Amino acid sequence: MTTRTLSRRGFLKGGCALGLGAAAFGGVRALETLARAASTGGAAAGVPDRHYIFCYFSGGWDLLLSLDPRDPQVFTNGNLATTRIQPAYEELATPPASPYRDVLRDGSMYLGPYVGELAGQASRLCVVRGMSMDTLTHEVGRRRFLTGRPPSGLQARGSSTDTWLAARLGADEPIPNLSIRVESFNVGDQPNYASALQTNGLDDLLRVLQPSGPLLGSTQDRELDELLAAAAACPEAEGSSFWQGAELSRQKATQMVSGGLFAPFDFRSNAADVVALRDHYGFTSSSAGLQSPGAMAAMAATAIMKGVSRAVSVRINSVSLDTHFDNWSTDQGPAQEAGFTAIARMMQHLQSVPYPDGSGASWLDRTVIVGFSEFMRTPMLNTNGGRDHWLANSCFLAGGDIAGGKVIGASSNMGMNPMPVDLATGTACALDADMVTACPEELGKTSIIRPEHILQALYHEVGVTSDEPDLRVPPLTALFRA
Amino acid sequence: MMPFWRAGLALVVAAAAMAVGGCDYESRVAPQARPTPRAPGTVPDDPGVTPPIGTDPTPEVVEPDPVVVTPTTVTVGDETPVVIDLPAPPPEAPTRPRRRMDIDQLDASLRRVTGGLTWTVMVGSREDNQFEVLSSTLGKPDFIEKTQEDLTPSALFQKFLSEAARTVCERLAREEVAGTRPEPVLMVEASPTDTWESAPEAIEANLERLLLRFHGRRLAPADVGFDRWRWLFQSALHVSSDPVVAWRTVCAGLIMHPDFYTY
Repeated sequence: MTTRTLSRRGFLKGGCALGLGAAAFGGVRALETLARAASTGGAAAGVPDRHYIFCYFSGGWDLLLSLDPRDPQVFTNGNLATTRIQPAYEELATPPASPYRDVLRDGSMYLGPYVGELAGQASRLCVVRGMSMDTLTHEVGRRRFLTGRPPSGLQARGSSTDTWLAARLGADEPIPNLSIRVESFNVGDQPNYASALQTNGLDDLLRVLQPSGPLLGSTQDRELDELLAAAAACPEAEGSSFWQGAELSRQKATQMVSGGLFAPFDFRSNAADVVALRDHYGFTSSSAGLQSPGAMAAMAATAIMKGVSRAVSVRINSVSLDTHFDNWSTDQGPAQEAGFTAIARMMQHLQSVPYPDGSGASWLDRTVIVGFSEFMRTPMLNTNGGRDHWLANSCFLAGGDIAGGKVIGASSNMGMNPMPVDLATGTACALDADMVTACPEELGKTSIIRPEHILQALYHEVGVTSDEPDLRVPPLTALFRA
Repeated sequence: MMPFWRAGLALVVAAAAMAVGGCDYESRVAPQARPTPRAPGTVPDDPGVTPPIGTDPTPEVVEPDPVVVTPTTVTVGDETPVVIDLPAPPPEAPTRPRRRMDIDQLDASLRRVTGGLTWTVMVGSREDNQFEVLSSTLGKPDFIEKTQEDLTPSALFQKFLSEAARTVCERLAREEVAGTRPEPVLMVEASPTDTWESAPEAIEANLERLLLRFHGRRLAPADVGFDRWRWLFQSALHVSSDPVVAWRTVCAGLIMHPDFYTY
């Protein structure tokens, strides 16, 4: 036994170190417990049956062209010095005939010229405007939206929402969490089965799901499987959470390959149902076609409706939205439009198929769709004829119990800055321009909306109400139908 | 062609044999006491630990005793030195946790152990390195969208590792049999026609060499950890009747084992 004299600071440091050490030892058991949940998990009683599709618009979108437009009759080049907002619809390669559209014809929701067919789904759409991302960096904005927490430098803090939701609801699906060209994080606080299967495209997904390469023979395969399983049951392996996780993953990989999961995703097939799917989503079976927004949306809907996944994330746009130069005038609008149209068709698809619980509800009634980007682009054009990164943002949600035909919050009419919002009603309550509503004085009811408010609302809906993801904000309850 | 029932029976019997095979890598039998070679499917001499087959796949984790510290109360601003008794260190110092190789390391390791082969697929006349083709899906950072490599042993990684192992081992075995490799690495001590019945010592010597080459483990045939590899060779040979297929299976197993792709 060693006896030493320590100052109070030294004592506290030592205590912390011991605590961390004990936590590290305990972590093995905790991970093991999580791994066990893989075979027994499932949605808790009372939790609504939800599926999730996260659609990521990569590169930072120009919201003036889509979710947060301005009336070009009001916001003109003449008052630019005051408004600091330059819709510049006339600068686009193909100037739109009606850039500021009253999509519900009651003045409650105006959308820009490049929302494509999503305008036709406005009655099921909830648009959140005037969010703050607190960053101008792509990775930071993206990871903040995925996790609901500001990254540490560029490194994501905490597991991403798809992982949390798959852990909560997806234990019974063969691939609870599927992600195509979108990051996903499991920092070890969620079970192994909830980690996303991430691939770079549909071809890679197919390759994961079907046997390929030279085969050993089924008997040799089983022998190999027995050997590796037996190795993982040895004391050295039992003490390693890494090894246990690796073995679970290996078994899962074997199940995925042997389960015939690839067939529904074989979009090159000429089977009648696949041809119909390609026609509906408007993509071809070429390599480029399988990277298109339509193919991504079709993949997401298929994974959900075939019971393969609980949470699916896709990068919906095939052309980057990071248009700092004159490619803004040619690429930004069409790239967004293709993504929105693909999502609209996905909503139609989900709406058209009854959910198999006999309730008469559709798949769309059980699936929440979230469309987001890392931030918006500047409301003013830069000297290169493009737009740079801007701190504010918008997003949209649809399906499930999301309130349709609703706009939550607003960006300011001077510089499109974030504005406080009454979290219960969704009403913006800033003090500028002419959209003034007095903010409630009660603390905690009003806030600048950030991604974590939205994600917290999704967590609350499925019963995660004790802020286990450590978002430290109240939910944006205005998202849901009353 | 072996009848299905015979292959199935062989598998069951061989699995039972492995079930009583060893887990630990420590030698439990004196190194000089080489056991008499036994026929496939027979029970090894050393019972070792019984790995579960068809039972609960999630074993209990052995936890070390918790470190207990008696709290000492101090008040804010009190600079009086505190005398505490530090607990004795745990009997075994904690070891560094395993870490998965990144994709470049895995690629380089495969080349190293196979004498230059890696996971490639012929596309026309071009040989595509699949670690490069699938780099993004395998989690390699591109430093545009992704800045950190995903080093989890995910299902996707396992699937592609399995594919890489089969591809590399098939080619290695084929080229060694054809004599087109400058230097054999898979069948060094044993020839492609050696069977357990004809040359058990050569087989064991070759397994020893492979374990050292692929896993850096110096195991003697008498060591308990050797059993499972002997079992794999024997049973693969038993069902295929082809030593080359058996070596290919062993090769794939060595690459898919965490001792290969972790450090």
